[in-house]
Amino acid sequence: MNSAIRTQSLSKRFGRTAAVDGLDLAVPEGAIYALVGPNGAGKTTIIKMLMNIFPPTAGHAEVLGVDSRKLAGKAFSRIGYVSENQEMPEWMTAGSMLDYYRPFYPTWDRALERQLVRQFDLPLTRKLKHLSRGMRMKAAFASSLAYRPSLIVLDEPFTGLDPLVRDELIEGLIERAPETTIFLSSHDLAEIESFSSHVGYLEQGRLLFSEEMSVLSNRFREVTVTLDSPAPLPENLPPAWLQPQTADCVLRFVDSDFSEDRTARELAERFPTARNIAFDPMPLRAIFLAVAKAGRSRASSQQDSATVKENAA
Amino acid sequence: MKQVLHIFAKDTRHFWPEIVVSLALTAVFVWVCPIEWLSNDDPHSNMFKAVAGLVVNLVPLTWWILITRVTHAERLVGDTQFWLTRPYDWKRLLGAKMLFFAVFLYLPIFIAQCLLLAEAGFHPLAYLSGLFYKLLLITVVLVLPVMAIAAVTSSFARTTLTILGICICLAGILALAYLANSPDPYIPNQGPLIVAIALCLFAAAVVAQYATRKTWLVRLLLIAIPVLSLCLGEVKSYQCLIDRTYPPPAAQAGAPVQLSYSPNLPGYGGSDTYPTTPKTRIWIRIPMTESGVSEGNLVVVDSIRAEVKAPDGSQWDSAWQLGLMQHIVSNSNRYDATFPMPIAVYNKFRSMPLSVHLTLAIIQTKAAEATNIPLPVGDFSIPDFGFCKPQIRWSVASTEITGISCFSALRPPTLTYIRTTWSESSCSDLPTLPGPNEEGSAWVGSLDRAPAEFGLSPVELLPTWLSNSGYENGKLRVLCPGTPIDFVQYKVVRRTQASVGIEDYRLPKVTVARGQVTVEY
Repeated sequence: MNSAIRTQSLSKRFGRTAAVDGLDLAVPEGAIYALVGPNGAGKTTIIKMLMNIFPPTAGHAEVLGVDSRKLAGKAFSRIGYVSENQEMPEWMTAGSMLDYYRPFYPTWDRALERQLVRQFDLPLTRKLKHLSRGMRMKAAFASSLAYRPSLIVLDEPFTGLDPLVRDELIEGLIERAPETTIFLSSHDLAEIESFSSHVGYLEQGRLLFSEEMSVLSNRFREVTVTLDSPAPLPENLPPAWLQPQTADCVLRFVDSDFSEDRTARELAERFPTARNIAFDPMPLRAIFLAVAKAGRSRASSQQDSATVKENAA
Repeated sequence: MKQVLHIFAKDTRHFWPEIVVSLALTAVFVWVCPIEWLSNDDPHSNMFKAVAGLVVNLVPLTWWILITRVTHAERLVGDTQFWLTRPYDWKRLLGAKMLFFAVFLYLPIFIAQCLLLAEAGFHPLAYLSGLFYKLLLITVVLVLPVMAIAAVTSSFARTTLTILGICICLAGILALAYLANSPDPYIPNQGPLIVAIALCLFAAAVVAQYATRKTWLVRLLLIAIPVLSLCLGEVKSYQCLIDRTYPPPAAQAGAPVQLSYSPNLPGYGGSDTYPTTPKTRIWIRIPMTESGVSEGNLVVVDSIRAEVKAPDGSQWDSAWQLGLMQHIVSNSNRYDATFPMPIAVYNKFRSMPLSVHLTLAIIQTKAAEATNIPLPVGDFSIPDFGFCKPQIRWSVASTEITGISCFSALRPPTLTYIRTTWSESSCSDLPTLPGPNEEGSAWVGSLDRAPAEFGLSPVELLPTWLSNSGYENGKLRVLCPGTPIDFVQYKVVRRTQASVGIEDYRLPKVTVARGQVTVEY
């Protein structure tokens, strides 16, 4: 399958800080790809490099087959970009903004524009600066969907919006999904889960995983084990077990590489007195939190060991 | 082109209030500007002149606002602008901005200048090249610098602060140079070259920012422009530039003027007194006898360089100094070579016999056209010069002509010698008999080759101060209608150099006391 977006060792440094570090990413055509990660992970930086808003420090990126550094002018007639902090021509009304953008796009669909205006209930005669945040976002969506772009790039599009507006925007996106690739970054994991086909998890500028949503959902399980008697955590737990903890006779952890047979076998080896084992599927939000917390505790333990080594030296 | 027009139409809709204000002020400018050259020196016209002066300053102010706002409509600094991810082509975007400036800045001011030329009596079509050159100067001095700064700043406030900061920096550097007592270097007339260089640098900065949006690089380029200018001003070894503009003659005998040191010239002596300043320098005046200036010729001293050597081997070079535009006419027999010397240098050499070598950058000119007319009562025109009118002194009893005032199109005319004769009696007591000292003369114009001078007004007022004007023995000198008045225009024959060596020269005695410098010859 062709990739709408492909990056190779893409990196961006701001002074001494590596915002994105050696990113290898492939977004298949037709996918709805959600890039998730904690604040400061580098999601917006990646999107801005892809959109040639600023250049990468190293590496390479292709967007719809075009080198991201050369992405300009006409190439944007196939790309729709909406960002939470994007400026808009505030002095225009929503209607005059659509009128202004229309001639820039040979594929602008007036019927679709009218449909989006109706669907989003856009007040065409009001100036953008007088619109609520939700309405402005709807206007941005309408102006980025009406020309049927091959790729829609969304940077935190749902942040700060009420659930009703979010639903309306997602509905608008899903209607476009069959004909386009959607690449979005978001913290709104519940909504993403409902319509994303692929997900990538970014932490400290590095992509920890990138896979289809169904594979991810199958890979993560919350495991609850009831033991005969309280037992301490053994030291040689598999690395795929995240956040293991015991309370009285109950052991809980997240298995990030779940396979029922293997996990059961590994549990039996380490906890022979286990009485009851439950494998619960996890929502994306829970997976995200588990991975994020595990990443933080890993980073802090690495820091601690580095400090110990320094002190010893 | 479609996209250019589309963006242009958007900017026009957005900035119509600014456009209206700018056009209105341009219209007011056309209305009030003629007052500067048409009215007489009565108190009412002075008030109008003040209004005209204010409007002349307000027009560029509205341009500054308009240029900055239009440039910032598609801001180039930052990463959140709406247009960055739309199918904007940078060349078309820049083209749209240029079209906007052409329509709302250049076209109105071009029309305004044509109207003003016509109002002053000049036919605009005869001055098209000069008018376009004037627009070029406005571009280099005003439009491109403001646009370049707006292109590398993110808001109107930042642009304004940057421009103010640049002005303060330049003022500070000039003040430091002044306090450091550095000489006033003379850079030969390279106006068109400087205009071309500035145009290229500012245009390169604007184009580079639109093409790449590498703001820091473009900011560095913009900082380099004034630094380069200052370096150019500080360069002392620009002899090659002087030699190119003023090629030295093959032999000194071939120079259009021969000079020789004449310490005993009649009239040489006495003293010069002037106030001390932080940059006090001693003005050395060396009397010379001139010869070789043929009849009808005039030699203008553009710049002077003095090289001084003392018996102990120490030496001083004044470098090329801004000349005093001294004129050496045929049969004048006399020329005072004048140059400034820092006090420290003077104190070092004051008691020593010196060897002085003077080199002059000179322009040889020849009388080309002479117009002799009887002074009219009203306005009169002089071909290739401009228009003049008698200056009237209004009084209860009479109206007397106490001088003339002139104006020309786009630039001062070629160097012109004006000569007439004063009358000490009232013109009503005709016939008048001119006395021995009643000639009134003035040099007007320049030998500069540029087709226009920078400024909004296409009409240049020419200060015409006739010598021997004012009162003599309690009587006001006046010009009577019908008095012959000559206008002799000089054309450049060549630019060259002349030099003279002086041995055993002693510096004049100088006293600095009570804020006064006294130089005794």
